[in-house]
Amino acid sequence: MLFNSLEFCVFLVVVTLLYYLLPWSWRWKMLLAASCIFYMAFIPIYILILFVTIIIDYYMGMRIEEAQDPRRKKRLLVFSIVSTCAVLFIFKYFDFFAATANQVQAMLGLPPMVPLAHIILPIGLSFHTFQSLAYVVEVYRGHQQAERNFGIYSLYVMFYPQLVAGPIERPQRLLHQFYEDHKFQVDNIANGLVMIAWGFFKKMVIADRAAVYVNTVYGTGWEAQPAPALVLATLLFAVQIYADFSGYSSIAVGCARLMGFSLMRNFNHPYFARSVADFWGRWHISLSTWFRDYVYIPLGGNRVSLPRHYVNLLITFGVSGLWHGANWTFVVWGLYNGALLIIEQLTQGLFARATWLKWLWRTVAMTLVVLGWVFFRAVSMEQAVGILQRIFTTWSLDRAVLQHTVLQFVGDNTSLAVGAVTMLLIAAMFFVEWKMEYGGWTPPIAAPRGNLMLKGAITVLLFQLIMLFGVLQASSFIYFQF
Amino acid sequence: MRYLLTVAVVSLTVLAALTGARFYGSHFFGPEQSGVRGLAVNAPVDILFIGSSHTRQSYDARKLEELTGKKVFLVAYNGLDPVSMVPVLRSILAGEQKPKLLVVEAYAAIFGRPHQVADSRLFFDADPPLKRALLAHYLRPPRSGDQYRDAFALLVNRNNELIAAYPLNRLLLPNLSYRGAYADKHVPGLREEQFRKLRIPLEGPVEADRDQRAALREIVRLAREAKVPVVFAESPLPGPVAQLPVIRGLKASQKRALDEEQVLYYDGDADFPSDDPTLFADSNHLSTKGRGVYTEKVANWLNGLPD
Repeated sequence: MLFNSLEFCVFLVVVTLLYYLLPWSWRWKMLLAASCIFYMAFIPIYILILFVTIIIDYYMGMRIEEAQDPRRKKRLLVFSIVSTCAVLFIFKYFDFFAATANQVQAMLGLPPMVPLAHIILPIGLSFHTFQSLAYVVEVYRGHQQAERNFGIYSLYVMFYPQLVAGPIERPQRLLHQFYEDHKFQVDNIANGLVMIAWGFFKKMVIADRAAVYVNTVYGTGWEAQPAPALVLATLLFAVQIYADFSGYSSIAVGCARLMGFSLMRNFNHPYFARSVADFWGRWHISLSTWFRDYVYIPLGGNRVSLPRHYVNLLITFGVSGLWHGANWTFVVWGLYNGALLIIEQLTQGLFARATWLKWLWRTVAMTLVVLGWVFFRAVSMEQAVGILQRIFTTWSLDRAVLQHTVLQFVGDNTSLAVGAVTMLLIAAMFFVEWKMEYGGWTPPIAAPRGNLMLKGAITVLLFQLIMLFGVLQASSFIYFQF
Repeated sequence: MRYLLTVAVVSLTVLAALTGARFYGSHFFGPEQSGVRGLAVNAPVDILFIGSSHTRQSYDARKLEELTGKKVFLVAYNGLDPVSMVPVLRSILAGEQKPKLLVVEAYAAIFGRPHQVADSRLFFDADPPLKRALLAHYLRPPRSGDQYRDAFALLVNRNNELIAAYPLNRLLLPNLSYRGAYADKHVPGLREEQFRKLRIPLEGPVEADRDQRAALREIVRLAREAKVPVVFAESPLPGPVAQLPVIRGLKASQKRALDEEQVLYYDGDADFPSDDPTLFADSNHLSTKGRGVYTEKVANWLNGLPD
C-alpha cells in the first residue's frame, strides 16, 4: 500500500478515526492489526519474516536484561545481531554476494560456484531490522528496559507510518508513546495534515516530476545523451531523491502526528549544508545517527590514530552504502562519500582562512555530493563511469543540444512549459527551506502550536498544487527498495 | 472534526472552481500554430490534414503550400485514432469555416488497436463544446475505474504547465511550428544497422478494431454531410516494418474498409524508397529528408485530384 494511493487515504482516515474512538487499552491492538494489514498489502507471506526478527529480538531483549554475567550478555547480543543480520543477508544480499563470487570464478576461468536464489526483497527490510537491532543494543547498554509486552514490542517494529522507510526510531523515543493516552487535539490534526500535505507535495509535485526527466535520460539510450542533459538529469536526481525521501518522512511524521505520536525529524535542509560532514548530519538523520552510534563509535570513532580514524570513516560509509542496496554502485557511493569526508578533514584548515574560501568549499562540497548521486542512480558501474565520462568530455551548447536537453522533459512541444514549471516548483520548495534555514522563519509547517487558520490555508494551497501539478499515477518511493 | 471538515470542504471547493475555470478557458492558453486551437486561429484553410504524430512528422507544411498553392493546416496529436477524430471532425465540420479538402491519416497500426486517449493536449486545446464531446465520447459505456481516473486527470491535472508558463510558451513556441507542422526541426535519418533492427510492438489480430472501423465510416459520413471532399493518405513506413505480416494484414483490412466507403486512398509506400534508412527517424516516423521526399509526392498527388 503506497502512501500516494487512494487505498492509503482511506486506510489513514479509518485508522485515525478508530484510534480516537477506541478505548485506550484497545488502541495499540488496533494499531498493530492496522500495521499488519498495511505491510501485508505488499507481499502477505513476508510478514512471517518480519515476525521472525521480532520474536528473536523480543526474546533476546529480555534474556540480555536478565543476564548477570557480562560475557553472557555479550554472547546473547551477538546471537541477536547475527540472527537478525542473517535474515537481512539471505533476503537482501545473498544474490549479490553469489553473483560476485561467480564473477570472480568466471575471471579465473571456472564455472559458477553458487546458484542465485532470485528472492524478492521484502519491502523495508533494512529499516525494520535496523530498528530491531537498535532495540537490543540499547537494552544491552542499559539505556532501555526490555519490553515485556510482545504486542507493544511488535508495534514498535511495525508501526505503520515508519514501517517501510523509517525514520529508524530508537526505543527510548518511541516505545513509551504506545503506553500514553493521546487525547484528541485539533493542533495534532492541523500539524499532521500540513505535514502530510507538505510530504505529498514533495513526493508528487517535485520528486515524481523530476523522475520523468531522470528516468528518460538515465534510461535506455543514455550512451547517446549529451553532457547538458546528463548534468541536468543528475541535478534533478539530487532533487528527486531528496524530495522523494524527505517527502515520505514528512508523510510518516504527519500520519503519526494525527494520532498524537512524535517521530524524529529525518532531514534538516541537507542541501544548505556548509560542508560534507554537515550534509551527513542533515541527511537521513535517523540512519546517519544509527551508523554513528552502532558502527562508527564502536569501531573507535575519532578517538584513535589518524589513519585508523580514516579507516573507520571508510568502513562506516562503505557499510552504509551497502545498506542502501546490494550493488557495487552503492558501495562505491558510500566509499566516495567517506573519501570526501576525509579530504574535507585534511583540507579544513585551508578553507577556514577566509569567508570566501568557506563559501568556495561549501559550493565545491555540494557539487561533489551531487556528483556522487550518479553512482546511486546508475544501474551498474559501467553506466556510472560512462555517464561521468560523458559529463566531463562531451560538452556542447549548440542549439540542437539545448533543444534535445529540454525535449527530454516530455518529448513534445509542452516540454518547455513542463521544464519551466518543474524548475519553478523546485525553486519554491527550496525557497521555503531557505527561509527556514536563514530567514529565522518558522513556517506553520514546522510550528508545533497555534495558527490553525494559517495551517489550514497552507494545507488547502498544497492540496491544490498537488492536484494541479502533481503526478497522479501512484509511483513507489525510492527508499522502499531498501 | 470541524477543522478537518472545513479543510476538506474548502480544498474541494477551490479545486472545483479552478477546474471549472480551466474547462471553460484552457483553450485560450493552447498553441496558436498547432492543434485545434491553431486551426481556429488560422481558419479558413484549403486543405486540412488530421492524424497522429505520424501526420505531424510526414508533411512539410511550407513546402506543401509552395507546391500546391493552397493554404494547409495539420491537426496532429500523438496517437490520434479514428475514434478520437470523430468528435474533433464533427466540431470542425459543423463550423462556419470548413476546409475545402480533408486529408485523413490512414495508419494501419492505429487502425488495429482499441481506442485510447493518447495525447491529453487535444482536450486542453479544445473549446468547451468539443471538451464536452470528447469527455462524453471517452466515458461512453462500458466504463471502468481507469476511465474515470483518466477523465479526472484530463479535467484537473493535465497540461496545467501550459497555463503557468504561458508567457514563455507564447514567446518561443510559434517559432517551432508552422501551420501545425514542424518549422525547421531537423530530424536525422537512421544508420543501416539501426534500420534493419526496426520493429513495432504490435501483435495479435490483423483485423481492424470494430470501433475504429465504425469511426472511419462516421468520418466519411460527416465529411459528405458537410459537403467537404475527403481522402485518406498513409505515410510510408520503413521497409522492415512495412513488411511485417501484422502491418500488411491491417493495411489490407483498412484498404478494404476504405474501398467499401468509396473514398480515395493514397498509399505512401507505393512509390517511396522505403529501404533507404536516411529517410526514416524511427520505426514509424520520417526523417527531415524523408519528410521532404514524401511531401513532394503527396503534393503531386493532391495537384492531380479533380477540383
